[in-house]
Parts: sequence; structure tokens; C-alpha cells
Amino acid sequence: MTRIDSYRAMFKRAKASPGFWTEAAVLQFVRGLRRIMQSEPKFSQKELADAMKVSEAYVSDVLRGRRQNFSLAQMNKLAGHLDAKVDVHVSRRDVVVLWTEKRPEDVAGEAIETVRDSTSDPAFQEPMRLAEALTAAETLKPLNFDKFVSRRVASC
Amino acid sequence: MRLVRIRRVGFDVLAVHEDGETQVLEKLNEIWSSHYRLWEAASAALYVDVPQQGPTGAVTVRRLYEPLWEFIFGRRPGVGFRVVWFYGSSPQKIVCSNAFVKGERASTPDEMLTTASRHHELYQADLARNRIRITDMEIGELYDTH
Repeated sequence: MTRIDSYRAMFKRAKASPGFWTEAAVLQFVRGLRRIMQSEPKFSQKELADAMKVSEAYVSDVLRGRRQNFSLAQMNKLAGHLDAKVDVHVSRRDVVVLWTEKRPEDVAGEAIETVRDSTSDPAFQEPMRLAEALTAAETLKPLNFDKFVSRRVASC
Repeated sequence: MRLVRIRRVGFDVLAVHEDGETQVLEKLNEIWSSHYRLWEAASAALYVDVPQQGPTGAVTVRRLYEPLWEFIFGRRPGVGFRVVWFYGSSPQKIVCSNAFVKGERASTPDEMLTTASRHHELYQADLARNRIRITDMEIGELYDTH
């Protein structure tokens, strides 16, 4: 066995360990917390500690990935103080998961577009019926509605 | 200069391979039996988090001095595992120079910084001469260009 083979075997061993994936998940959680804290409105470690009624050292340890045994409830409690939430995704170990954040209204607009593009129902292909669908979608008050309408109308 | 690719996703995490061994991975392998949790944390960072998300934002990173950086693994109280690294030819390339187990109150050994500086100089020189060779740990192929 060459040196490279032994390194490969080491990571193979790591990937078989639940603790390895727990550490990876903790890092993902820490990254999310830091990102939320640095985006507007910003939160300092002290503000988060005060809100949670814990010591600043505890928050510092969390943000440095020094605490591993979180329950989902504890994670959501921490995130909740930042007006954030925890999402969970389960995947095969050999895939890379990329998260995308979207506002609900953007998802609604895209859903209508997907239906229109994928369906063979002529109703969705007719400009007038499409306009009705768009009006229905408007009740969802999408932030990008104007952009969405202009794109759809241009394509009709 | 020869590098071993630990993993490449959005970021390319590499380690210096010198005198027939990759010191960072040798050290990592060493702590498997003595500091298992530390091993899990460092392995997860080097194999999952840093390749996917980059060196900053989750793993504790400390700026040593230009151009050297340090990944810090470990919980207080107790020993830590440190990896000295520098950016490669782009901000997406992370070149790990060497690693060491650090006592709670010990400082970063000067020889580690000296070695890392030497690796950085060698990297820059070999980059200019197109003499960097990479062994991809996953697929075992050798690349003559970087």
C-alpha cells in the first residue's frame, strides 16, 4: 500500500463514521449562523448571548464549532434568536448538497412558469388564459411580479 | 513541487507532498488513535466543508502573517490540531503546508512557519515554471499542470 493509498483509506474510514458527518453538519450550522449574524440586521456575539441569556463564551464556542452535541431543538433555539431557522436535508454520502434560498413568492412565480412550460394543456398556451393565471399569481404578491409578467408577455 | 489533492469541489484543497509523504495527512492519520474527535473534526473540515464552501466562514481560521494562514481545530480545554496553509494560484486553491498537534498553552512552532514559508516560495517558483504536479487522492491521476 502506497502513502497515497493509506490517505485514501483514512478518508474512507472517516466517511464511514457518523461522527465525521456530524462534524461536517456542525460546520454547516456554524457557517449559517455566522452568515446570518453578518447580514442585515447584524448581530454581535454579545447581542446573541444577551438574547439567549447565556455567556458570551458559550456563543463564542458555538461559533468556533467547539460544541458538537446539539439537538435540533437547541439549534433552532439558537437560530430563532437571529430570526432564522434550521433546515435539514438527508442525502447520499457521495453527493454534494448545494442550498438555494428563495422567497416564497419567487417560488410561486417559478411554479406557474414550470407548469406552463411543461403542460400540453392549450389553456396555458393561450395568452388570455395565461393572463388569468398571472392575475391569480398576482394575489400571492410576488416581489418580482413585474419582471415575471414582462418576461411571460414578451414570450407570448 | 508535488501536491496531493485532498478534494476539489468549489474549492481545491491540496497538501504538499515532500520526501515521499504528505505531512498534513500523516499528522492527521496520527491523531486518529489518540484524539479521535479532533480527527473527525479536522477530516470533516478538510474533506467536506472547505472544499465545498471555502476556508472562511465556518472553520476557525487565523492569519499568521503574509501569506500564511492557519486552520484551528480543537475544543477547550485540550489539545488542538493546526494546519498551516496558503492560497495557491487563485483564491479557490488552498495549499496545506504542514500540520501539528498543539498543546493548550503551546505556541505555533517556528519551524512550522519556516517550512510553510519555504513551501510557499517553492510553490510560486514551480508555478512560474509550470512544474507543479498534482496527485488526485480520489482518482490517483497525476497532473503535470496546475
